[in-house]
Amino acid sequence: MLVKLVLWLGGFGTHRLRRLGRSGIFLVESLACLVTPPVKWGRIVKRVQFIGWQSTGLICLTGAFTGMVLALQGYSTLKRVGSEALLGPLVALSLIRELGPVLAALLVTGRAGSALTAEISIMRNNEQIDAMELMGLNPLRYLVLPTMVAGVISMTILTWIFDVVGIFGGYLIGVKLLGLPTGTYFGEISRYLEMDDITGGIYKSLSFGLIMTWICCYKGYFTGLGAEGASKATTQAVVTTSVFILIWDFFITSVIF
Amino acid sequence: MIRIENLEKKLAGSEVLRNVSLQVEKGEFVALIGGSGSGKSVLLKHIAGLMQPDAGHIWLDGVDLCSARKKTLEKIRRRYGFVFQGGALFDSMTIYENLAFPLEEKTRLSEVEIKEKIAKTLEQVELAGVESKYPAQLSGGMVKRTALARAIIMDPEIIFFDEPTTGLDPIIADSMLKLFDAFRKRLNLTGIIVSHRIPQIFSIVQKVAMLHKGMIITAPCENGSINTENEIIRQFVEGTIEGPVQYE
Ligand SMILES: Nc1ncnc2c1ncn2[C@@H]1O[C@H](COP(=O)(O)OP(=O)(O)OP(=O)(O)O)[C@@H](O)[C@H]1O
Ligand SMILES: [Mg+2]
Repeated sequence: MLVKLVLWLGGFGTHRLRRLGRSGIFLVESLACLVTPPVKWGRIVKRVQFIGWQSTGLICLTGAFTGMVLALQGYSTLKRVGSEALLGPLVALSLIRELGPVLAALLVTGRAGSALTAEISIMRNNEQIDAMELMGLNPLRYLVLPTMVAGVISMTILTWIFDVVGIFGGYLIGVKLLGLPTGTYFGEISRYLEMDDITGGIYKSLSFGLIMTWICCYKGYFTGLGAEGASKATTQAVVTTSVFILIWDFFITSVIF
Repeated sequence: MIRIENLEKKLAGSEVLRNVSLQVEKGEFVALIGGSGSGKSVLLKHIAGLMQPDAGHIWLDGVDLCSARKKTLEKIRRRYGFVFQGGALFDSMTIYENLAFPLEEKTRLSEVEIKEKIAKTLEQVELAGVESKYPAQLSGGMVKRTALARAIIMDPEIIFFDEPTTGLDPIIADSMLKLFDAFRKRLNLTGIIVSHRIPQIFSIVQKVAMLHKGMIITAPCENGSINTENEIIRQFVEGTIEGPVQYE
């Protein structure tokens, strides 16, 4: 009984370990295509369009409302301690250091990451990836790497859009609705916002972009058979990416800030 | 040319290939036949190096594919033309882009030359004028013919066609078979064609290989008819229910 349990645990462990190793090799081999030309810039642009451009509407909408709710909540809290003037820095710092990168990453995962996994799963099951390989065209170079590069670029830009729109949303609530002076709102932001906050946010969104495209491409690339396999892969990709992003966020925050 | 020796492969717990041996000479076409699910597609994928066998070897001009390095395998694949059973067209690209993709990436042809070559190849498969369509907008038979066009556009020496004529109407199907025959004679092609187009397929191949219970039975083909005493092949070719093999 005990032996069986140990064996089962061992088997489970090695299985997990092997999968982890495989996903690591997948990442390294894909990134290796970046240093061994040719890099397919045209495909990267197309991917940016797919991941980034098509998500901008969603990011603007959610960014605005996040900034607005931050301002509402922040204002009522700050008012209790009599420092409403600090509403601007509260909204801006929360967004730039934390909420912008994380929320944008989670939204883009739901919007574009799931589509990526579904697309690559279908390409695998329709033998399109095999066909590419047979033509001597490495799918990692033509499919995966452009997606990863585009993911990193798009995520960074989208996070910035999210932050800027969010700060503007906070301005609408704080200044237009609650009557804070415009000068106070933006003046206090520029007084308290430091370069480290901005670079920290950028590091976050860069790594989130890579994590998202890595996991989503990997899950699609090694998908199960048929429609069931593809749907499973898509669900797993979104869940794994979201969890991983939140865990990674904790570690990176504790290191860089 | 191609020599397959004692190939074995288990998939999802069932022995799909048990002991497959087959030899294909240069300039020879072999028809691969066998019941649905007998492992024809799986066998082709092994020869293409897309699947690894559990045991056995595949030799191509003396090179063992199963232990070949990536570079060697890539070089060998450059000589292949492969039609997947489902077509495997890239559905995010138009027909033109599908055909241009390997040409742009793997040859030094100019844009004009590529355009000409695509037009010529599409004409051969009787598909002129669909360049700007996407695979999802084509009928099943048109997808098949586009896949064929993509397989021959790189001027392969060895072709593997997985049911290239299934889903085509009888007239186009036969004209495709004639086209293969003309190619073989003109370019001295070697190949394996999976086809259920019996008996028409026999007039363009030199040998028939039947995959049955994980093993291969071969028979020579002459003047469009198969020359064998083997009861299993005869029963399959004649399509009768009663015989040495019992179908439920
Ligand atoms: N990737 C796979 N994983 C598990 N089993 C597979 C896989 N591919 C094929 N099989 C199984 O292998 C067997 C042979 O499949 P294959 O596609 O080679 O048949 P086939 O001879 O080409 O049939 P058809 O004439 O219908 O195309 C089938 O039982 C199939 O279920
Ligand atoms: Mg098949």
